[in-house]
Amino acid sequence: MKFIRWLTKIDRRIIFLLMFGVVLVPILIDIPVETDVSPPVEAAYNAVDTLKPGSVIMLSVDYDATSYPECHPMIEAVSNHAFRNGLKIILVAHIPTGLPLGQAAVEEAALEYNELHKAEYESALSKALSTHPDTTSPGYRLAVEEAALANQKRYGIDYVNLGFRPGMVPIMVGMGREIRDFYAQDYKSTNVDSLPMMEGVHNYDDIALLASFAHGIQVETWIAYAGARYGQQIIAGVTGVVIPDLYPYLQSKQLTGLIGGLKGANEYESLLGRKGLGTKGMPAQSTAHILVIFLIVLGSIFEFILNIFSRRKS
Amino acid sequence: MKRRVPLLITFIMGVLMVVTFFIPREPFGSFEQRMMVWASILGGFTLLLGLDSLVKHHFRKIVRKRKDAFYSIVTLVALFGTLAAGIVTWAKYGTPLEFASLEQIGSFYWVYWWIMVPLQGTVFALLAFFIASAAYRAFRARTFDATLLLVAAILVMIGKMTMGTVPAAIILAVFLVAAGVYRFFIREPVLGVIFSSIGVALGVLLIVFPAAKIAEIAPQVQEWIMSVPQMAARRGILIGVTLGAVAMSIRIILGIERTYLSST
Repeated sequence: MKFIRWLTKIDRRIIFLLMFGVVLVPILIDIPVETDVSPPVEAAYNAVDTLKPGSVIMLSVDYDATSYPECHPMIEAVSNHAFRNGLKIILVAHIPTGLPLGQAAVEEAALEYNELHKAEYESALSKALSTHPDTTSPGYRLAVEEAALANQKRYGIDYVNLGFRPGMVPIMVGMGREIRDFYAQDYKSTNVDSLPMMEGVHNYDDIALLASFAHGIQVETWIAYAGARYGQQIIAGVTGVVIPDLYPYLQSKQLTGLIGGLKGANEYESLLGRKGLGTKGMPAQSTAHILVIFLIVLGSIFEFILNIFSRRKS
Repeated sequence: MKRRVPLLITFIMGVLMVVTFFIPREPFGSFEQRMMVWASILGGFTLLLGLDSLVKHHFRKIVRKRKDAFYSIVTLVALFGTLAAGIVTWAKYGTPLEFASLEQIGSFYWVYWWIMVPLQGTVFALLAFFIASAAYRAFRARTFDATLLLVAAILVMIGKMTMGTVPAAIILAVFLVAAGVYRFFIREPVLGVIFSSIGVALGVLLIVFPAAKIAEIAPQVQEWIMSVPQMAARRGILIGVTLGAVAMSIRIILGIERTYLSST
């Protein structure tokens, strides 16, 4: 009995060390994992996948560094997917400290795309040069522009960052009428009207899909204002703790798809066929889950034993 | 007068905003949009207010040499240091968020990426350690309800794993059998039989089915828990919260709820 009592009062630093070990080892060792895709993630993937090339998708960065491990792989995956399918991205943020993360995700997705299509781009350039030897001719310029349009993702043409504006609800409601009333300039203070991508993009009617990456109530707010009032199609990528809040909206189809937690990001990456942070992080999350389950069960079994003995004593 | 005027403004604006929300036609539509822009601008000023309060609070602590004044110095240095980095980057690149690649970034982005992000991440990562400790010390299946809650939680956790599903399920089976035995001892034989049977049945399933099949079933069980019992409870809570919010809004518009007028 004394031993069990001692175990129930074990130094918590031992538990901390155990947690450290079970998280660290899977990160250091590359463990291959197989993933079954859940229906909410599949729905989110299909919502992006079925959009016509050239459609505009709005990514809302509603998380910050505290939720980086869960939300960042999602926005990376969705940005990659969007660029792969020829979609155009508008980035907005309702958490100022999250905006740079969203920007990094989209910029890196653009860099990755450009790197992947570098060979095609260079071959198109050399083809343009052979067809139009005069590099100052309009024909050459047009051919170069066409090559870039087909193989490169560029700021202002394929994606824009509208930045952060204070006041979440007014912006969500107001964008239903005119985006420019709130975002007259982008994050570089460039007039939005001078960005080619924003031509003809004025309100939710011009945005095919809205994706909110959040660790709080932002998705529910998007649903209440952009979704319920303007009929905007919405998908969400959220941290594990927010997932339960969104299931009612998923069932009522107010939310088209849901990428939940690191597992959701891993599932999305598996659909994309891309190994990102979600895939890399899942083994560590799994081993941490096993440890927590083990500790819960062990603690409860000790509690059962102590209770039984104290009852018998009394 | 001091109270009546704000109450009147609240009433008029409250009613107008409700009307404009449901009647988007002119002139209500333009009026609503104007109000939304104003609200956003006001939001910007609240950020300034926050900044003002923060600086005043920490400055006072430093001047009066209060306990932990060192942390106030750190806060103010970090605040103005980040501001300076932002202004320098803005002057240099036209935006504080200059980003070409992780190797080529402005000083503001550098501060953000290499100081703020790791700090925030570290603080949040501590949660994993405290949850592990709490799991061992506090999450106990003392009652029937607590046992149900723990079983549901463990099933959801298993469903969120991409490896180790079988060992986790074995631990769950052991837990169910132990919970069943415990119920026998505390003279709750019906619950004892139920828990033990489920535990044994789970154990048999784990022996009969291959590991791949278990790994395939686990996410489906988790999905069912989330989309049926969990969602039913969540929807009830949601309806309750929304009705409460509507009631509170009506109270504020009608001037019954006046606590927002004064902080005292």
